[in-house]
Amino acid sequence: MILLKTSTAGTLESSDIQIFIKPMSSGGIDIDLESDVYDQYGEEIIRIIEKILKKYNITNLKIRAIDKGARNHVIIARLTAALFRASDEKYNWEEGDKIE
Amino acid sequence: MNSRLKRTSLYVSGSSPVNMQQAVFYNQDCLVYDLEDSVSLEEKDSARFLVYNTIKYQRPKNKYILIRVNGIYSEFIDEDLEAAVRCRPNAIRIPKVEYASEVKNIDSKISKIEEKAGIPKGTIELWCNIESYLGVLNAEEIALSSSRVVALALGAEDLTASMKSTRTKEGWEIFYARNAVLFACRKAGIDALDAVFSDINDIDGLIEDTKLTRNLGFDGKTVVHPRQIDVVNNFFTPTEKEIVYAKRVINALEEGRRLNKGVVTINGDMIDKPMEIRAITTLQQAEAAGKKIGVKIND
Repeated sequence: MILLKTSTAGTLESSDIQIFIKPMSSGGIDIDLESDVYDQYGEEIIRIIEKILKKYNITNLKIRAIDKGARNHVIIARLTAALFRASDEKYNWEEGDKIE
Repeated sequence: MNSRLKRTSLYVSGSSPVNMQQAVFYNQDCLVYDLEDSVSLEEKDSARFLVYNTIKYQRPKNKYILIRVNGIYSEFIDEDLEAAVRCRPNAIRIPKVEYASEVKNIDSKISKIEEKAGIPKGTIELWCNIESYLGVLNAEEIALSSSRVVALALGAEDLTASMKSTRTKEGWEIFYARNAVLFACRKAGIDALDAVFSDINDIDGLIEDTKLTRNLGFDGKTVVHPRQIDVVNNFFTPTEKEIVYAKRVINALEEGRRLNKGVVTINGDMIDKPMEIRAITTLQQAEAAGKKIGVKIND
């Protein structure tokens, strides 16, 4: 997936996660996660984010995520929305949200 | 009769994870994840992903699950249908249906997605929202348009706007529409859902409105707030007294058949066909609500 611009998805409402993404030309993946439950779930949230980025072959990106207790399926939904808002590609429903 | 209860149908916005999470804990029979009116234009894409992932990975148990997609002529409908079909809700709720041809078009699109996704054809049911005078006038053809259509749901706010009438608690301005939808549903053998009662602080008004809804023959009602759910559920759940009487009617008829009696009576009153139908309906509703009825009922 080719990212063309910065984008945002999600809110600061309880049970949600707000995600800002900024495409980079180099520098790898930089994830800045803020979460009230960072100690308990921080690693899991980062793992999910990394898996989705891997699915879409994204290797250079700055992400800032403010988590308000979002469950995994919400993280997947918000990050997917942010990524596709940053590109001009259309989501492929046949491929789905399967992440390896 | 569709054995799945549809006494209450509650909408939840597809753009609010916390509301979607909370909605699972209420007692409504049907939960409608909304992609239409409660989601802003800028958030349609994100809400679609949220609803898709919620139903796919956190589907509430023991509830009939629906997705209300955006309008048939909107720029969002095709993507909405892709997401909606693939996460396999019980049904898709289509807003503002006015013609049978619209339903056939949606049916065809859904069939193609079902095939691509490996979902057995016909799995996804349809509810059609009747929200304009054209929808009311064409209710019968809409109800009969597709085997996927299992319910029509009346939407009074948009309907009264299309009629240039004023929405009132008494409801005379939608009386014809209520009956038109009901007659159409009965002809098609599908469920009829009444419109919302908007004033969430007026429980007495809700009771009067739901009493009328039930007496007219509706199978349930869309509710606008969780505090309305139990009130409406109670009206569409047979009471013990009603169940006992219905069982007496069925047992009397069975004994009459066994004894080859031409006329069967209870307390001196002849039991006719309409009474038998009402008794069967009462017992089916009671059984679907989880009550033990103690008799076997045949349609």
